[in-house]
This record gives sequence, C-alpha cells and structure tokens, in this order.
Amino acid sequence: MQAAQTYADVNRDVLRPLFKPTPLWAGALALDLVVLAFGAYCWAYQLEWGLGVAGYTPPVFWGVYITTFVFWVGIGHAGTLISAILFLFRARWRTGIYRASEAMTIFAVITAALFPIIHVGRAWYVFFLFPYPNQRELWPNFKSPLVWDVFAINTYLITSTVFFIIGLIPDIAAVRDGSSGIIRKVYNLLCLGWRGTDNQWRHYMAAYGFFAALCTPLVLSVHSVVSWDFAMAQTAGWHSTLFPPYFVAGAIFSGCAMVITLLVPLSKIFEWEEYINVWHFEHLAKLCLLTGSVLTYSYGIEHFIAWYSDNPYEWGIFVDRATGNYSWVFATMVFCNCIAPLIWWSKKMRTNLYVLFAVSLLINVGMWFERYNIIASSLAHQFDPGSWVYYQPTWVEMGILAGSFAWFGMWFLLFVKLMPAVAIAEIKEAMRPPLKHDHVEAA
Amino acid sequence: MADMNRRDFFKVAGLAGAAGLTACDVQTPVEKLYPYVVQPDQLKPGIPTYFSTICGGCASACGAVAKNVEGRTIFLAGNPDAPSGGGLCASGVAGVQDIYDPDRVLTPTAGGSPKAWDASLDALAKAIAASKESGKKVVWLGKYRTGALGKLITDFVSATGGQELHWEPLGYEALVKATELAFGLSGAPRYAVDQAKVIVGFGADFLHTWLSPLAQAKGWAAARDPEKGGFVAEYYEIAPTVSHTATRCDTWWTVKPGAEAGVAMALAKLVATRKGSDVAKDYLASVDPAALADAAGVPLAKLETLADKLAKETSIVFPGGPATNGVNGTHLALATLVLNAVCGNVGKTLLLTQRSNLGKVSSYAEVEALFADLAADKVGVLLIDDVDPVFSLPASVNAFATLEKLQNLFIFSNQVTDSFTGNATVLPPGTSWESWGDAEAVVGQYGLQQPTMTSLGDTRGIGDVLLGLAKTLKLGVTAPVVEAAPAEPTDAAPAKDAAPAKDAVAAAPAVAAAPLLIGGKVAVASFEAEDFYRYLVGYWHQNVYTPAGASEPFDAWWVSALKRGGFFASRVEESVSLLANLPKGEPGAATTNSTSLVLFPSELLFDGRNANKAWMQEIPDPVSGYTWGTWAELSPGHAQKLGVTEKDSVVVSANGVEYELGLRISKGLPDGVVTVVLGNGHERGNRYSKGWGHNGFRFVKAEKDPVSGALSYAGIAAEVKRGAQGNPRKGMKGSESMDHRPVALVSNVDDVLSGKHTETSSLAGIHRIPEDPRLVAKGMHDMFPEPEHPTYRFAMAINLDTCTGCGACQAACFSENNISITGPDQHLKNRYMNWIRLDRFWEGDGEHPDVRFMPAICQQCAHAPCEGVCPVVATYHNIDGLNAMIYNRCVGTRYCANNCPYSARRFNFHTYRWPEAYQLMLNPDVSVREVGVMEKCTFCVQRTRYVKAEWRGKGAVPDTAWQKLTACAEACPTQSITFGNAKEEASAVSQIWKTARAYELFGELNNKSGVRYVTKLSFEPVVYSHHGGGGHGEDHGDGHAEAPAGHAAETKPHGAGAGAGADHH
Repeated sequence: MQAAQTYADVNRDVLRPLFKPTPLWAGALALDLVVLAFGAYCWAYQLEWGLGVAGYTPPVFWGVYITTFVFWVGIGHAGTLISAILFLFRARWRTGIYRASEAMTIFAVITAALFPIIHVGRAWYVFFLFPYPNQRELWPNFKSPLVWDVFAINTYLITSTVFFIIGLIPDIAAVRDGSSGIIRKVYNLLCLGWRGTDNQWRHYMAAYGFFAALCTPLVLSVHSVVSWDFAMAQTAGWHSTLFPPYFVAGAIFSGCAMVITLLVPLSKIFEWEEYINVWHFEHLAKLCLLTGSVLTYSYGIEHFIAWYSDNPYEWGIFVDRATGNYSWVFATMVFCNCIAPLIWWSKKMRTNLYVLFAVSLLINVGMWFERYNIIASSLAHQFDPGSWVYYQPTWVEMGILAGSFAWFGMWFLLFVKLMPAVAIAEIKEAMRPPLKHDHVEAA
Repeated sequence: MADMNRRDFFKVAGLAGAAGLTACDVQTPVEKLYPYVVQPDQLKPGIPTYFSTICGGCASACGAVAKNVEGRTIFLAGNPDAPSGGGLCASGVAGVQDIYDPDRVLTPTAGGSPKAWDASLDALAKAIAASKESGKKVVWLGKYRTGALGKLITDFVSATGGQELHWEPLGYEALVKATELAFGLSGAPRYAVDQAKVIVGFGADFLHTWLSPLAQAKGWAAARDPEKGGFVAEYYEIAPTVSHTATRCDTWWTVKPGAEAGVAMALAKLVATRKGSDVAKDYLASVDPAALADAAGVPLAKLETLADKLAKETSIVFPGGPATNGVNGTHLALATLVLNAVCGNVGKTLLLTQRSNLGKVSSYAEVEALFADLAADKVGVLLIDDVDPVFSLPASVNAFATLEKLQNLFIFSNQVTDSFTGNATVLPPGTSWESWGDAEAVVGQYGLQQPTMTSLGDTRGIGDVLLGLAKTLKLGVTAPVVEAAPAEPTDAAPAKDAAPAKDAVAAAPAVAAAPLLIGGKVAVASFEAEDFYRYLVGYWHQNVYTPAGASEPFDAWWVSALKRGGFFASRVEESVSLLANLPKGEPGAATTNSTSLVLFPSELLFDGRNANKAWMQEIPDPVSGYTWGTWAELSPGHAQKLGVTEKDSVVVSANGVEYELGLRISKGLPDGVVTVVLGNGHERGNRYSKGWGHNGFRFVKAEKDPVSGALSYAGIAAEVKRGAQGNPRKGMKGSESMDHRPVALVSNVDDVLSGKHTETSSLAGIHRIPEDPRLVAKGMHDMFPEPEHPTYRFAMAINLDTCTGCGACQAACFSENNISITGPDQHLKNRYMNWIRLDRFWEGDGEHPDVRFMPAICQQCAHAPCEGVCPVVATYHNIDGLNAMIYNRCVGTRYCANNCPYSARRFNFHTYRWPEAYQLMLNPDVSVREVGVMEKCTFCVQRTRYVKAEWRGKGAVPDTAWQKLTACAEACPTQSITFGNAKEEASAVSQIWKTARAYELFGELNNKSGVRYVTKLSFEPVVYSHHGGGGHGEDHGDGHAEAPAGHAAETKPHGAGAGAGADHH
C-alpha cells in the first residue's frame, strides 16, 4: 500500500468529503429519493389493494420479495466477513475497505428486514412473529424456520451494528476534532467522549477483538438460517442439505461483488485511490473466484444429486429449470455467476477497474436471479403436475425492488457524508509510525 | 402539578375523553336486531330446517333437499329418497344462486321498468282476448314441463285456442321420435346402467348433460364398482369426439362425423348373427356390416370383437347426444334402440315402462315455424316460459328482430335473458325453490316441489298467473264447479295437522264424491282452483293418490309425500318389443367438410341457462380446465398443421359468424374437427352471464333432421385459422401429463377382480423405506409416529374410477364454505379459491384416452408439512386429525402453501367481495375470510362439530352419520367420496382404506395423509413399477420383498410387458 505521508494527511484525505454536499452527491440523493418514493407508493398501493397486485400465481406464493430479501441478506455478508473474520486472520488488505463494507452490511440488512413485512399478506399483524408477552399467551411457532429467521436477522443486525459503532469510535473522535459548534457536540456524544488515551485504546482493542469473534459465527449462521427457509421445506428444489454452505458461499460471493461495485466509484469520486485501490479489489476478486467456484460446484452437485437420487420430483425441477419456462433465468444465473467471473483468473483482468466493476455488476444480477430461480421455478413446478404454472412479477414488485435499492442507496449516500467511510485509525495503524528522526529529516 | 385540584383534573380528563371520542370515526352503522313477534314453530335459530323438494334446473327433476337457516335457503343437496338418489349435480347445487342472483328479476317489468302485477296481468288478459278476436294465435313457448303445471299449461293454452310448444335447445326430439318409431311409445327410454357389463356410447353425454345425468351417473358408478356387482363395466365410445362422458371410456373408436348410425346398424347385425336372433329381421336384412364399417372408418374386426361381448353380456347402448346428432340423428337413435333390442336389453337396462316422460317435446322445426308465423304477424300473444330463444336459436331465425316487432311478448323468467326485447313484459314466477310445483320426469315417479323459503321478490307462480287469467278470461269449464262454502265446517278440525310449509290439507272423510278442501277452498285440478297450490293438491289427489290406492287418508299421505319429496312407486317393466314395421335404416353419410364444427354443451353452463350462476363460471371445465368464457378445441395434429399451440387463439368461422377463441388442444378429437363449447356469450343477462365469451349457437346452420325436425349441432362446415390475440387461459390447467409421476394411479380390472392385489397400498407410494421386523416388533418402525388422535381421525376416500369430473363437489364446497368468487381476471393468474382443485391427466393416446381426474384437496396430513412451517401457529393439528386453520391468527407468510405438496391451499390475494344479494346465501356456520389470509379445505369442520354436538351424551356416533357428511361427499352424484373416522375399524372409510386399490398421494413423503385415493380401473395391461420407470428393480430387492406388487402404476396402452416401461430419465 502506498501510504500517505503523515497521519495528518490521512485525516485530511478521509475527512475531506464530509459535510459538503457536492452537486453530484445532491443529484444522486435526489434521484435516489424519487425512486424510493415510487417504491413506497408501490407498497402503499399493495397495502391498499392486497397482495394480488403482485404477480403471484398459485402455487407460486413466494416471488420477488423473498428473492430480494435473500439477495439483501446475502449482500450483508461480505461486510462482517471483511471486518470480523479478516480482522481475526490479520489480513492487511481489509483495512482500507472494511468500514464501507461494514456500512453496506448494515444497510443491506436494514433493507432485507423490510421484505418480510412487505411480503406478508397482513403486514399490520407482522408483530405476531415476535415472541412478545401477551394476555392470550400466544407464542410464535419455534419450529418454523421463519421464526428462526426473525431471530437470526435481528441478532445479526444488532451485533453487526454494535461492532460497526465500536469500530467508528476513534474515527468519530477524529471528525469531532476537526469540527466545531453543534457538529462537534453531536460527534462528541457519538464517540462517547473518546480521548485516545492508552487505557482507552487497550479497552477498545479488547472490545473490538471480542466483537469480531462474536460476529464471526454469525457470518456463517445467518445465511444458513435463511437457507433453512428453503431447505427445511418439503418442496422439491428446496429440500436439500447442501443449502447452508451453498447459501453462505453465495452470500459472500455477492457481498464481495457488491463491495467492488460500491467502492470502485467511491474511491474514484472521493479520490481515495491511495486507500482503496486495485490491491484491495484484487483480493476481493480472488475471494469471489473462490466462492464462485464453490457456487458452481454447488449448482453441479445439486443437479447431480437430483439425478442420482432418482427422485422424480427433484429431477423434474432441475430439468425444468434448465429447459422449461424459467430457462432464461437459469441461463442468466449460470452466465453471471459461473462463467463471467472466470475472466478474473487472468491477473490483467482482475486488476482492471472497468472489468472489476462490470463483472461485479454481473455477479449482483446473477445472484439475484439465483434466488429467483430457486424460489419461482421450484414453486412453479411442484409435486403435482396439475398445479404447474408460470409466475411473472408485476410493476408493483419491480417498483418495490427498485425502491429497495434506493432505500439502501439513501443510507449509503448519507453515510459517506456523515461518517468517515475509510477507517482512519486503522490506516494510521498500518502506516509506519512517525519517528523522531523523521521530523529531524523533515526539518 | 401542585396547583391542579380534583375538579380541574376531572375537567381536563372529561374534555380529553370527549375529544378522543369525537375523533373516532364511527364507520359501522348502527344495526338493530328485532326479535320475532311470533316465532315460526319450526324455526330455531342456529338449527337448520330441511325441505324435500325437486330441482327445477332441467327436465330430469332430480330430488333435492334444501337447507333453510333462519328463513333463507342456503344449501341444496340431493334427496336420497328420490329415484335420483343422493347427490346433486353442480348446477343443481348452484340453484341457490338462482334465488340470490344479484340481478334477478324481482318484480314484473314492462319494457324494462316495473309494472304492477295487476296491470301486467290485465294487459296480458286483454292481449289474449284481442288476439282471439283478431284471429291471431296465442302461443306458449316453454321448457319441458310435466305434472300439474304441465297439465295446467296445456289446459290453459287449449282453452285459449292457442299453440303449445315445449322446446329446449339441446333437446331430445330425435330420441323421442325414434322411440315412437321403434316401440310406438311416447317419451324416451330410461337407461338403467347399473346392470350393464358393456356400455356402448355413440356420443350421448350421459354422465353430464344428457337426459337424466344424475341417475345415469349413479348407475354407471355402480356398474364400475367391483365391490358392488363383482364386475366392472367396460365402456366403448364410438363417436367422432371424446365427450366429457367419454373421457371415462375404456375404448374410443373414431367415426367419421355423420356415419355413426351405420356403425350401430352394423353392430346390430353382427350381434343378431351371433345370437341367431330374429329381432328386427327386416330392419337388419339389408345391412352389410363390412360396408358400413368401412364407410364410417371403423375396422370391422374391432366391431366384431365388440359384437362378441354384446352377444354374451348384459349391455346398454346410448344414442348420440345433441352434439353428435347430425341430420341423421333419429336414425342413429333408432339404430341404437334396435341394437339394444337385439342385445336383449329392453326391460333390463333399457326401461320403457318407467320411461322418461318426454312425450310433449316439440321439435326445432315447430319452433322455426313459429318464428315464421311471428314474422308473418300471425301470432297475437307469445308467452315464453323459462327458455331463451334469442340466445339459442340459429342466427338465420333472426329471433331478436322478430320478437322485437311483437307487441305482446310475455316472458316468465327470474333471470335476465337475451330474449328480453323492449316490448317484453317480464313476469317473475319465483324460482323453483320458492314455489309449489311437481314433476313426473319418469313415468310413474312423481316428484313434489315445495317452497323452501319465502320468495325474495314480488313474484307470482306461473300456475297462479294462469289460474287468475282463466278466471278473468272466463275460460272453459273443465270440471263441475263445486261451491266451496258449504263444505267449510269440515275443514276446521284437521287444519291443525299442519303440512310442513303451507296450510293444512284436509280430505273430506268418508264421503266419496265430496270435494277436497284446503282452508275452505276447493282443491281441484281445474280452473276453479283458488290458487295453484290447491290445483296441485287436487291434481295429486286425482292423479297420484287415487290411482296408487293408498290405504292412509289423503292428508297423512300428502304430508309424507312432502317429507319424502314425492311419491315414487317402482313399476314392473311390461314386456315391450320392437314394432314390426320399422322404417328402413339410414346409415348416414360421412361428412365431406374439410373442417367440421361440432358444438358441445358446457358441462356446467349446459345450454347457457346456468351462465348466471357465478359458481358455474368459476368452476373449471373438467377437461379443458378453462373458466369464464368460450374456447375452441383442435386435435394435436390439426393444431400442428395450423402452427398453433395452446398459447394461441384461433379464428373459427362458420355460416358467416366468426369468433376468435382461445385454443385447447385435445387428444380426443380427430383431425379436421373443431369443437366449440356452448353456454357463454349472453348479450343480456346478469353480471356473471353477460360479456364472457361468444355464443356458439350462432354458428348453427339451421339444418334439420328430416325425420324428427331436430336441429343439427354437428358437422357444420367451418374454417379455422390462427388468431392474433393469443389464449389468455393458457396456464389455467397445469400439465395434462402426469410426467411419469405417481399421481392418479390405475389398476388393471383383471388384477383387481382376481384379487391379485391383496396388500394394502401395494400399488401406492414409491421408495418406501424397507421395514426391519426387529424394529417393527419394538414399535420403532417410524421415527415420526402419528400424533395422538384419541377418538377421531377424520378421513376420506376418493374413488378415481367413478369420479366423472362433474364439479358437483366443487359447487357444494363453494356453497357450504362461503368460498369467494374471484372472477375471470384472477383466474388467469390461477387465483381461484376453489378448495377442490380438479386435476386432469390425459395419459393415453388414440383408442385409449385414459383420462384421469384427480380431485386434489387438503389431505389433512397427520404429519402436515404446512403446520411446522407456520411461524404463528395459524395452522395446527387438532385432536380429530384435522389441519385446523385459525384465520384470525394468519399473517399471510404463505409458507404453508409453498410447503404443501398437494398445492391445496388458497390465499386471499384481495378482498374478494360478494354482491349484496349473495351475502344472504352465506353459511352462518363458516366465517368469511379477509385479504391476506390463507384458507383451505377443513373437512367441513362445522359439520363434524355439529354432529358431535348432536350426539353428545347419546353414545358413539354411528358411521352412517359420517359417511356423506362433508358437502363434497353429500353432493357427489356417483358417491365417489366417502368420509368417516379412520380410528373406527368398521367404518366405511377404514374399509376402503384397507383395499388394495387405496393409496396415499405422494405417500413416500410420509405425510400420513387423511385422504386416500382409490385407483382408476383400466382394461389395459398395467405395469406397476417405480414411478413409471422400470429397469432398476435389482437394487431395491428388500423393498420388493416387502411390497411384492411393486409401486406406482402406469398404463402401457398397447400391452407392453412387465418391466418394459421406458425409463423416464
């Protein structure tokens, strides 16, 4: 890494974009809010008229909303992987990107958490899913994977938010130090009066390590639990023991791709090439190559097992996915997830920002379609041939899907203007400590 | 706070409270409940009252029982005491939608605006009088009527010197004419199918829309049940197309349209030769089977094998239905009657003494002549009784324009029809469920129709109208006038002896010639009767009670007839033989059209009369799976030639009429034949009948059968080409192929009769885990034992062989469970709410169609996949073995529906609203569901609860109380559905569950379902194998040892040997 010259340089570079809305930023936010408003309108329309405004075609009772839910939960994986697991493994390349990707995680989970509510038939009763004490002594059904989901997502959201905030404390202090007036007061509050004493640093590092360790199993558990929504069901095409590792690999795959998608323009726009550059992206691309291979293998093994099991329902699904009504979805998925990333085996390609960006976008598309493929095609081709149908989303579903990106985008846009999107303290930690003779030389 | 005293606190609190209350928006209007001032004796809130009556839906007048709850008739079922037996067809069950038709004619109208009864009838009387004076005719054009009302109409019309026509579009003119020619009898034979071992059909849709479908279906089901007669009837269909009935056939031979009569004649000759019989010797003398078979395109060798069977076994031969009756319909019907006679079926399966009472049937030719008279202004008054000539007559008759010119058009109708011209005066007679009446559909079998509720509108029965008119017009006296007044005193005492629904009936005791009095008024079947009720009683006294020679007094007899639903005495079949001078047989000529159009009645909408009933639109056609509209059918070869698939529409044109219709590709058609369903395409009607589809009757060419004058609905020269709009219904029926999955299974008849399948469920399930005897001994053979069901495990058995796909169960389910009507747009997204989904699989090809119907409902699994996944316990397993639903708890995650392998759950995607009138029809025992809530079959939990409550403290509930308890089982015309308690070894359902043919659908999933299906029977060799595959038996050695008969079954149509089944991979 090409280190900045001094700690002050780091502060200057990272804090430069804060609080100053540029026309580009303001325009992006405005556009984002318009899309978000449309998404909100779609949801309101759906609440008014019932879920029938979506394209559900029984027995396809789950569609774009659950697809998008799983998509965002998956996106939410990379952040914690990068911040927690790679921290424990002392992977140096995480330093520059972990803050932004962790923010992405939280915003993705916040986005994902909307979808179960959007999805249910009576959104106004969604609190039934929580085990709250009530006079009627009614509890949720702890056997249901959907209840597990409620716990898994909430645990993940809370833990990673705490972890995120802990990581932010010294950097918020840095923002405070460079500000005045009301902003200074607010940030002083947010950094819990951080002064950077040795004692504070000692406690801070212990806490950070503790939460990193706590978050690590969650990275694996959340998407395993989400995968159980499917794997625990009897539905052919879902009922598979392969799902947890397959989903976790897919989540990391899509999450890393999303980090590339977000950070390539971010580092360009904020002129942070010094902190976030090809060196990081190459590592992410390698991670994508690994998880992408796992995914490709999973696709293969899924088909193999379906054939080998001699189960007509399973095999029927997998043949139908590849050749039936949804073959275009299947083809998109295979191209985007299995074929497109192969280009990164070439070092030249995985160090080219344009290629990185383009392929990461394809992976995002592919991973959305993977979930769509699993959900829609399995349900449309159930056990009883007399119930086979074809499901297509409507404008309402697509509007809410677009709205979810806008919702995520809104948080991210606000984040980059309000918080340091690169971890100042850790960058400084990675730099050569300033020594006395440096000053002498400089002098 | 210190300065707030107690008074201030109350001021503030009071103000805040008032403000809060004012802010509340009181949306629910205040409703007041008034108790009865005098509560009717038989009315107990919450306890239904049942009335025996007859269904007025069609000429077969099946017995029905109406369930009345607090003054409203809400459910219709079959009457087990009537000759039609229990069960009712779908349109009969939907009869409640005639009562609560949201756009029903409730008051008399003239030119569309209300006109009081007195004024309307005054106008009618004046019109009749004026018409007589001006020398014009008074004409009655009505549906088939028998019994008291039939007599009254005849008397009335003859007294006015008018003309009486009874015509229905898909009527029986040809069969009636042929019966007259063959046997010299008036009417049509009755077909008793239950004893027939061989059934031959020439196109009659006898299980659904033809003659007396309910009784025929019941007979057919008995003939198909090896448990009942020890045999299984084999059904041959010899017709150009596979009708809905023929989907149940075992063998189908395609005939060139128009040449069917020749085949029947050839068969008769072949059978006569084999039997050495000289029945109809002259008729058959010149018949050359080889030439006729050749002309019809049926190989002679096939006819000979069939003739061998017909010569040996009891059989029944059906004629062509209206749909296959071409211009040669009478000769086809005659040939089938001769064939029946040659086979020796007369008096055994072809009943002529107890024949269908269709003597007064008018022909299409007469109706056509009427319209010529109308056009020529020879008719003064036309009275239309519940038929819709404008909808059903061919375009060339120009019915609407002709009727529009007629000033004096009076229509008796409860529903808006296409015949409502601007001049028409509409007189609503009230539905058959609200008025008195009777029917003698079969000679000697008298059905009695009583009002099951007060009429919803200002209606007046036809009988009452005619009696009133007769008095106004001072029409001819047909019986001596008996003054009512002198007999008054005798009435007082017996009046307390109340008949169920109306005034008491009292016969003057002992005095032979004394008139029958009701409420002091004479009850006699003549114009002197005070009202039609008295006319009816008089008619029954004279025509039923007196000839029957009953020993009990008339009033007791009458009450028991009312309770029973009529008077049904079986008669001894008198010996009837063919007339000596039969007309010469006419084999008919095969059509020369390159494309022939055949019109067929919709099984549910029939000739269009049921199109006003939302359920009939909403229930899918059993074979095509389509709803709400009109479609065309083509053979796969024909479709390929046109380059169309089911995603496309086709333009069908005939006789200058051109419709673009969605396409269904049917393996039951030969190339060169296009069929179009009838029933929809109403121009005027209620909200459900108007605006859907196209009227197929417009295609008809007005070609007549010269012998009977019947209209030909077949062999119409037509053109078919690819349409541009596409077929919106393409996705509505799922896959028509089972995709080699073990869904609707078959067993071979011989295997079943010879007892080859002795093991329970030997046919069912795939990949069952081999059982280890050591674990079984320890009670550990199942990791997931069935949950505890202490007293009841409610269960069902559905016989796939006798299921005809008629839809009666679905209609009954709609009616009983307040199921929403979602409408055509929702159907395109498969969002029907129907709790019973009827899958159909067309597994066979060509000669052996092998169509399998599969009524898929919630299987009430003991290990229900739906229960575990519900996050809020809105669906759970109850102590009776049901998967109970708590609608109020449902959040609508729809996970349960995803996890149901049977796709049995329905979701309320919208708030599906009922029109206000339909809300009166709702069952108060079942809650209606709101948007966002899942629902499904509950095994009619409200009924099981009711029975349990009824028997509380009285000991165990007998099995008979369960067997037909659910609405579907009660309605099923063929009694294919049996309900009961599986915990009870002796219960009917347990007995069926134990038979070798019973299997669990997708049993290998170990859901332990509460429904078991009984396999369809096939005369073809059946290969029982793993999910239709074969060739990997070796590695499942243990499994086979446990279940020797193999597993899933699949038909190999052309005798493939065991194990030769192609692997499906």
